[in-house]
Amino acid sequence: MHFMSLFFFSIIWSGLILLSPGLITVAKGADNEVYFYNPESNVNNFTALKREFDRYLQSLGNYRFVPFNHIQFFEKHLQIDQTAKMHKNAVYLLSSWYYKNLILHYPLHAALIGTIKGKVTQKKILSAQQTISSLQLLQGTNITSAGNQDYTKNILIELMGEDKRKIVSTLQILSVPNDIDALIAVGFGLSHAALTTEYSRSIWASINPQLSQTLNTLAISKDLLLPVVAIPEKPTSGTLELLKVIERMEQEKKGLMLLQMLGLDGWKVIGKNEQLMLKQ
Amino acid sequence: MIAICSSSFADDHLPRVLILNSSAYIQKYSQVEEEFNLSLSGHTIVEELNIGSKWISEEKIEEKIYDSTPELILCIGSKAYLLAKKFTKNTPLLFILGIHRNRFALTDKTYVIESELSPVSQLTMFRFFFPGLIKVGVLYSKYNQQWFSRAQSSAKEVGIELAGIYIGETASFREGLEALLPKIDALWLISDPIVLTSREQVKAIFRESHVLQKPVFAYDRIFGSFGATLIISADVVTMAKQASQMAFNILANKSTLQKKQIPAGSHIAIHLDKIKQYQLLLNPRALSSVNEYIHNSK
Repeated sequence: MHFMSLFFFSIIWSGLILLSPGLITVAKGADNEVYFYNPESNVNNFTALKREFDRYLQSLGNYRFVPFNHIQFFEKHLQIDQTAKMHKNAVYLLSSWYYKNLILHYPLHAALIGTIKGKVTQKKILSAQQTISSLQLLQGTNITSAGNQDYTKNILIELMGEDKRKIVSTLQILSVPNDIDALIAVGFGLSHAALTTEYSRSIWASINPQLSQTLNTLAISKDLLLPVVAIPEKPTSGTLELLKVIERMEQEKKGLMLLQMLGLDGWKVIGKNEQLMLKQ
Repeated sequence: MIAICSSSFADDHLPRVLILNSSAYIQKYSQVEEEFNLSLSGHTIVEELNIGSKWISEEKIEEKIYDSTPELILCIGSKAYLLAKKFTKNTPLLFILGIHRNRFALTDKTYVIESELSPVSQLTMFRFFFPGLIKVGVLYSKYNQQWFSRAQSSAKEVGIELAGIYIGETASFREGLEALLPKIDALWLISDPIVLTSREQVKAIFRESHVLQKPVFAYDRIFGSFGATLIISADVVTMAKQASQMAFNILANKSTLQKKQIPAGSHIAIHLDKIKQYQLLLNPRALSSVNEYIHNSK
């Protein structure tokens, strides 16, 4: 697609997000943007996320939160910035899983990583109905997950092993709004298995032990990194200022609440270990 | 979108699907139509008919069903289902967003996605958001007697004590409310035609609950403006995705998991100011499941 048509396409698309009914006043002239793309969660709370983030960010400066729900739109946006060599003040809030793939094509650098109770990783669990006692029996079944299709299938391959790729291709994935929904769906026979975080599985077990006992744990992932905040490899001073705003979120009540909306409770400056994990 | 095994259908035979929409002017109806269409496009031939317009006669609808020879009809809303049932014999009907669905006879060719979440889904969410919650109260009438006894056993499963007051006559509503509120930690508003008989009655519920600093949990976003603390409703987009998955299984002659399915996704709205005001213990990690924040109207 020609550069200019890409550009106008993006403008039109941004307009759709920003001017949708019930959404958000556009921050006029905001040129400091926090881009958000996270396929790990079925973020169907864009309206709420944008409204709450914009309120918070605009109280601190001329900042704007720009969430993306489709990878194509997000990457087109990045591509335009690259092609035009724009030196915008921008930070990128991304799932680590996606970031690992993205840096193969775009010169971004992860600066912060999300934390939950001081930890930078979490595990995913594949829980199934009791009749499904092995991964082989998953063939052609339904899986509920709060992540999008691509993410869910990729994590399932990681979890189940490369040799189960064929089984994964036969699965019907139903994206649901959150992990508890995914687990309840299995409990009620709407799906055969659910892919959730370890935390959700354990909280669900504590809330409803009876239903939880009817589930089999089929597989547990290795430690998976939480979302990261990335910046361009050659950041502007404005970008570094914006990064500081994001880094300080957990110190303010409203900022902490926003982090919790993303499923986090803090940020950590990325160290060598995390950098290594992000390259694996 | 849902993951689809496109190889289910032969290239030279794309199944025909007709979407009958009771009213394309109702936002959630059109949302379902759009999402369903998106999931099926390329894998089936989809035709759509909005029967909400007063210009469209029953004859036209019958003609359309006859001409399009669908292998499946998605009926959005009760009007669409009743007409599709009237004009078809053996065509499978997938019924979604039915109002008072229990009043309609379902045929063995009918597949349904219920409009309301199960009590256990809602009760689980109550505990997920408010771990300190113990006693929840419900006002119900003869229309929800069965529902209440099911909900009571579900409540036990999640460690909640569900107290109920049966409202027999409109006159006993106020006494019922006054008797229930002091005994509970939160009031759970359910869809009941006797309890929610008028706007004034709804206002009274919220007013009295507020006086005693008791949060109200509701089932529809409409109660946000009345002062609901937590609203859990069925997520319409997820319902449409479920319908698409069911449609593929019906068309591929696969046995679907269940002919009647409850909604698999929840839409959650919370009012943080109310939570603070009533000093409720909120699980901060539940915030990542919130779809909407209710703010005080200015």
